[in-house]
Amino acid sequence: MIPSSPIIVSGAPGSPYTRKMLGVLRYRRIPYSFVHLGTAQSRGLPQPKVALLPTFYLPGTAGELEPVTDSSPIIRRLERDYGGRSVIPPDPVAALIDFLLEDYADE
Amino acid sequence: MFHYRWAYPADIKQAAEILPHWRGISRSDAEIAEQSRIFAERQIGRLYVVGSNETTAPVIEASYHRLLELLNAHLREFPFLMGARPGASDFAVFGQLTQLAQFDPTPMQLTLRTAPRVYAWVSLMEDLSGMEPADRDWLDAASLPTGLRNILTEVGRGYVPVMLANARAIQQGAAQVETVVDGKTWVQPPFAYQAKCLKWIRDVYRDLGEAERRAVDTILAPTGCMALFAA
Repeated sequence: MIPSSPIIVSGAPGSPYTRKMLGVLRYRRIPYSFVHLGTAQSRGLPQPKVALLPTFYLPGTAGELEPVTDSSPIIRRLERDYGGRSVIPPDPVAALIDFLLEDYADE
Repeated sequence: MFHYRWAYPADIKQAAEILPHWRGISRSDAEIAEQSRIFAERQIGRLYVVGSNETTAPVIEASYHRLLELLNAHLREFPFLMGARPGASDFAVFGQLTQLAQFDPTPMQLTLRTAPRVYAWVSLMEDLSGMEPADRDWLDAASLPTGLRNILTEVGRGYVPVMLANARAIQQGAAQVETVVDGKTWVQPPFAYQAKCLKWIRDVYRDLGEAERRAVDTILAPTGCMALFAA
């Protein structure tokens, strides 16, 4: 299922993971709507269990938008939901190296 | 990154003064100043959580300096970590560097002194929507560039011992993670999330075919990263 409307993303400029994900969204040409945390628009949005930045609002199993955090699994989910311009190397060896370096940077 | 934001006066001042504005630009200076004060106190109180203290500070900072030099050397040959097109790791490094290289004054000065190329790369990574990647643009894992091998050795030096020690501490229910990095004692509270990340990497490794696993072993053997998969 490919969502047709922009993905709502909530975050802040000073959050490295927010900037990471915005970079991915732009490169992959995935339409998004960025909501700055703490502003009027963000106050109406449901909060995730642990308030981490960025928060993505993605369709849950019932179709309702759910808050989702954790950049690395979100990247993998976006790979499933949107085709083309992948950020995961097709060679599994390169993909493991990429994953290792991604986690090193994220820590 | 958290260390550099809250360890030194110049960085604390900048972060405390700027960050509260992001929740609302049009507020009084007094209100902002109060937010700045509260925010700074809270964040400084959390430095221990990321293992930042007087002993580990030089270790953290030396590793950033090394990363800058290694990244600079790799980028001299390839526009991205993953070759001629970006992988998830490129965006992860980019995210951290938006803060370290282009916001917090102390690491930003170090970045500009050590590696202007890295500073420039961060600005390019901001928007790659116009790039047209090709399948052949991925680096060849069978002949991994030296620059990337060197970065993997840096990973083996700092990140690997801490990830392993954290996993041990979580497993043993210990109150504290203790290990040695660069000859200095590293202490931090245990992070369940870091243990989850280690498990994920191990799962990916385990799910590789035999030939692929041998290829990874060959690449990682000299880097110190194989310890991640030893258990």
